[in-house]
Amino acid sequence: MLVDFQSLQNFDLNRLMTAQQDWSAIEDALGEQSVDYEQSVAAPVNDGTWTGTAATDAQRRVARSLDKMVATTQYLDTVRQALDGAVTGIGAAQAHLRRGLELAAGHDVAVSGDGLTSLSGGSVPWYDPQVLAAMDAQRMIYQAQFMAYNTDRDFVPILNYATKFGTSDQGQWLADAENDLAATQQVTELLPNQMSGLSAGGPPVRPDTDAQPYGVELRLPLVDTATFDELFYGGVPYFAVHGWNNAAALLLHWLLNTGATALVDPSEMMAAMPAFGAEVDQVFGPGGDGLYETGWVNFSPGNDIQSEDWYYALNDFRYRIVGMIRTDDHGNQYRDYTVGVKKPYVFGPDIVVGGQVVGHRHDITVHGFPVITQAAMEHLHLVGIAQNFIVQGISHHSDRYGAIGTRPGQRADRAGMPAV
Amino acid sequence: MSGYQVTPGTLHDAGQAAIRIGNDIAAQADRVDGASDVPPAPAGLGVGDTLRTVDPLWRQHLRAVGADMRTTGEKLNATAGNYTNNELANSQAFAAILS
Repeated sequence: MLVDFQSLQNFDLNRLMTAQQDWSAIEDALGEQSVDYEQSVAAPVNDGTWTGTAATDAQRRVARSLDKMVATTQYLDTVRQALDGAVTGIGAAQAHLRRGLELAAGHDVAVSGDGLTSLSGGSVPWYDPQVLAAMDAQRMIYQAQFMAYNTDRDFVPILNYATKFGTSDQGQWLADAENDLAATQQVTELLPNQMSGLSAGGPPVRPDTDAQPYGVELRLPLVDTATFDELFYGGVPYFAVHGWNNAAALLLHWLLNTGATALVDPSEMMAAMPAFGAEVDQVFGPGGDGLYETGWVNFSPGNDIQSEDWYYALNDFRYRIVGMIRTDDHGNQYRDYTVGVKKPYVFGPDIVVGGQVVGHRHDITVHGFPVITQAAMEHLHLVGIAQNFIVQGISHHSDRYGAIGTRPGQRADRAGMPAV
Repeated sequence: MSGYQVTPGTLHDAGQAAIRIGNDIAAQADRVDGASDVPPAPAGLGVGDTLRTVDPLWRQHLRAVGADMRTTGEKLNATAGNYTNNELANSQAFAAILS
């Protein structure tokens, strides 16, 4: 059974703990009654002072009752252990879910009734954009759901098979009780390992462009105005008339000088850039129940520009995928995953981290001649005419795994493109 | 051959104990009612639902085990109550009661 967000959040663990205590008390009582029966009934009947046909019948009957009690007590132990495991597993899942929700709340990340995070936009810290916490929180929500799913999958069958009553073969019933109890203990031993997978925090974030100082240099009226006008009256309309709406919108956003975060939709990017969509699909490979995580990685179209719109809007960008695959009671696999995207919208020289160039930025060229340099665009931010900002986005996806079509690709080699 | 060193009092005590234990076990069945008092779990979480499904089976089983104990006790009591000095009659009568 697939455990959804609300089921996990609303499940009354206290009531299950009460049931666990009741069953434990029943098991204890039956254990004491078994000892009592052995001493007060079986011992006098079997003490050797009574022999003959009637005694044999009585002894056989008492022994059969005792076997029944022993098997019953073992199955009670099975139920108790299954409930112990359920309380532990679901309790851990709920606690992890609460931590994930607290993390989200601490970063103003909204979480829907379906357990899906969303970004609020506005201004975000340059080095700690909201999408980082949103993806960490989303991973914790998936982890919690997966833990609860595992618990349900492991312990519900045990509760069911602990009801093998009424078999006429008492010996077989007793043997089943012992085997089933041993199997339950094996499942219970898996719990600590499953719980150790519930981790907070996220993977390291790939170093990105440092925040550039804003409005700290003197304006060069002629040069800066010319650059601004070329971009405002030339660049933005140029993108727009080509239908590259995201590129136009982000450039205009930069020129409007607010510094506010811009939101993008990763699902739209996956559709527009099949190579990106294919990278996402590859994360899940052949499938199989489990949690999936890429950490923050880079996507660069290189020369395979499948979307001029997104190429001019972002060029390369960072993305992260978190998700899970689970199997329902009918054997159908379902995939739930979230794609996060981030990119600082910045102009300037190549990105250098630790002395190594990790990202190229190109001047805008016409027939090979630069018409607007990266340095000229960077200067607009330095003098406070335009302003850098963080681009971030998050999208959620659910599908039946294995029923996914391949995304058609297209190839368009372009060179000398400007890059942000 | 039957051995009658056992006293009717011993059998009667054992029978009474079996009835008492049988009643105690049956009483545990009522405790299962408390254990099953888990509110309906929201759709998608099976532990609570399953527990409520198996509870009636457990109640039935514990009552059956208790009843079986009580029957044993009653038979032992009947055996003690019909005790005579006739060994053969005792053996035949008790076997009929205890089977």
